[in-house]
Amino acid sequence: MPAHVVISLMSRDRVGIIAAVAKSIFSLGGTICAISQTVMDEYFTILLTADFPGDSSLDAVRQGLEAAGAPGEFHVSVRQRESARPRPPQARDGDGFVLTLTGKDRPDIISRVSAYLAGRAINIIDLFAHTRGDAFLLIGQVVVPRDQDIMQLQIDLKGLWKDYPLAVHLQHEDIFAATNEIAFTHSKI
Amino acid sequence: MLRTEDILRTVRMLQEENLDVRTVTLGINLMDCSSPDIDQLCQKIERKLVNKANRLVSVCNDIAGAYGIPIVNKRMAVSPISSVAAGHGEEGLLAVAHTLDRAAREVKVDLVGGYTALVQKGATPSELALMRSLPVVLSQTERVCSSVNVASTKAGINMDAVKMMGRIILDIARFTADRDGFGCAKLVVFANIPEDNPFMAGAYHGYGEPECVVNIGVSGPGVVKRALERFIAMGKSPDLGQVAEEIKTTSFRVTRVGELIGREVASALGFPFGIVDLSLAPTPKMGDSVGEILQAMGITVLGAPGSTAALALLNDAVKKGGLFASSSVGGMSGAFIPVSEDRALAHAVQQGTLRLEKLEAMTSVCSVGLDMIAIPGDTDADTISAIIADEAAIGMVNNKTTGVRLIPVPGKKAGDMAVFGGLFGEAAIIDIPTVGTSAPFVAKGGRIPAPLHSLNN
Repeated sequence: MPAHVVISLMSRDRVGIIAAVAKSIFSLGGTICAISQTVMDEYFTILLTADFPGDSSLDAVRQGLEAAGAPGEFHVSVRQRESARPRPPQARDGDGFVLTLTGKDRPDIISRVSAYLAGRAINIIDLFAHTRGDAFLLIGQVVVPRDQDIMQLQIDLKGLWKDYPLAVHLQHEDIFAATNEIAFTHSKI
Repeated sequence: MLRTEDILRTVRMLQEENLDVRTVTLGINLMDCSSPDIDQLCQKIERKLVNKANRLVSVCNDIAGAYGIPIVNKRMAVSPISSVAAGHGEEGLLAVAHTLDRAAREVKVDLVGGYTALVQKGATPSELALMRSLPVVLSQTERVCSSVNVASTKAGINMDAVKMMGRIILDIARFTADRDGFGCAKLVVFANIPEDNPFMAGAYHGYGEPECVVNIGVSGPGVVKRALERFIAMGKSPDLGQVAEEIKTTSFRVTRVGELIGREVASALGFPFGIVDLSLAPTPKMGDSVGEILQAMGITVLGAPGSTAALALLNDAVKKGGLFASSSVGGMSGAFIPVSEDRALAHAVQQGTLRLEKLEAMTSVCSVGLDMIAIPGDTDADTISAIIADEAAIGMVNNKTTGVRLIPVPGKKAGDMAVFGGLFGEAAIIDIPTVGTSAPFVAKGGRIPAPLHSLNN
C-alpha cells in the first residue's frame, strides 16, 4: 500500500524551489498528486499531496525535502492523509459570494469579519488579504447558506465598522463571472 | 478562479461607477383581450395586466437587493392599442388609455408603452382614431406612452401620417401647455420602430413577440464615462482606437450584468427572457451623460466639428462590446442623445454650440433621433412635419431606427427654458432656422417610396 501524504513547505522565495522539491519527491519514489503554491511578501509557500512507496516513513520524506534546500532554508511539515482519494464533489449547500473589504487598516479586521461569517455558517473557501502602508484589502470567496437573508448580511457587514473608512461589499459570484469570464453562461439560459 | 484585479474592477463598477440596470420592461400581449363591448375590453385588459405584472416591481426589488445592483425603472409594454381596441373609436380608445393608466398605477410601474399605431404604409380607421385621440389621451393620463411609426425601409415614408403628426404634436402641446407641453414627451414618431425596445416612450409589445417577455435596458452612460476617464487618467495618452477598445470592454461588462439581472427577473416571474438593449440612456444627473463621454474623448465644445465622429465611435464600440457579451441583443441598442435628459447636451444647446442641424447629423450615427428637444411654441405644424420627414428619411435610407420627440412649448420662444422635471429634465428651447417654409412640401402628402436597397431579397 502506498503512503498518502500531505506536505507543506515554506521558505523565503527564490528561483528553483519547486524544481528542488519535485526532484526530491521523485528521488524518494513519490508521485505528486496535487499542488497549490503562492508567494506572499517574498515568502514562498506550497501545499501538495503525494503518494510514496509503502515502506516510506514520514520522517524520511520530511528529511529528504529539507535536504533539498540550503541548511535551514525549508520549513517542512508532512502528515499522513486520511483518505487517498479525493471525496466525490458535493453539491454546495449554498451560493458563492465574493466578499471585499477595502479601506484603512486596523488590527481587528480579519478577526471580526471571520467571526461574523463563522457565526452565520458562512464558509470561507478562498481568502486573500494584504496591506500597503495604511491601506487594507481583503477578497474572500465564501459560500452563503441558502436560508440566509443576503440583504441582512450586507447590512450587518457594513455595520461591523461604523464610522470607520472601510468599505465592505458582499456580491454574488455570478456578477464577477459574468463580467470577467468570456464563456460565462447563465444558469437560467 | 477569479483574479484579484478583475474582482476589484467589478466592485469599482458596482460601487463607484454606479452600475445599474436602467429598465426592466415586461412585454404583455393584449390581442386576446379584444371585445366588441368596450367595458368588457377594458376589464379584460386591466385584469390581464394586473395578473401578469403584479409581481414585477417586488421581484425586481428583491433581485436588485440580492445582487446589490439597482433596477432604476420597471415598466410595461403592451400590444399596439390601435389593434387591440380596433373599432371602438376615439371614445373607446380614451377608455382603454385610462385603463392602461390605472393598471400601471396598480402594479406600481412608472410608465406603460404601447398606445401605438403602425402606419408606415397607410392607416386603418382605428389607427387614425388613435392618432387623433393623442392630445386628449396624453393630457389626461399620467403613465401612458405612445408611439406612431410613420416610415420604414421596406415601406417608405407615409407623408400623410407625417403631416397629420405635426398638427397632433402641436395639439398635445396646447393641451398640456401648463406643463410646458410635457404631453409631447410621452410620444415618439418613429421610422423602423423596434418590436422589443424596452425604453420609453417608444416601447410596445410587437406582433412577433411571445405572450409575455422580459426585456432589459443596460446601465447608463455614467459607467462608460468614468471608465474612460480612469483609463485616460492613467497617463497612457490613448489614441481613439484604444479609447474604442476601453469603451468596448466596459460595454461587455455592463451588458453581462444587464443580462444576468434580466434573466433572474424573467426566471422569477416565470416568463421568457427577451433581449438586452445596449442603448446608453442618459439622465439629467451629473455624470450620467452621453455628452460628457464625448467631452472625455476630447470634444471640448459639444456640437463642434468632430462631435459626429466621436459619437459614431462611441455607438459602434458599445455595440461591439455588447454583442460579444450577449446573444440576445435587441431593441434600439445605440447611444441616445435626448437633449433635455442629458445635462451636457442641454447645456450645449443653451450655449448655442449644439444646433438642430448638428443634432440631426449626429442622429445618423446613433440611436435614436431628435429626442426630447424643446422648440418654440409658435412653430408651425408643417415645420414639425418636415423635421419628422427628414429624420424618417435618415432612418429609412440607413436601415436604422430613428425617432422624433419634439416638444413645442406654448408661449415660449427660442432661448427660453422648458422644465419637464424628473428624468425628463429641462432644456433651452432650440432655434429652428428657416421655420415656416416647409408647407408646400408637406402639403403634397402621399408616400415617399422605399429606397432601392429595401429590395434585398
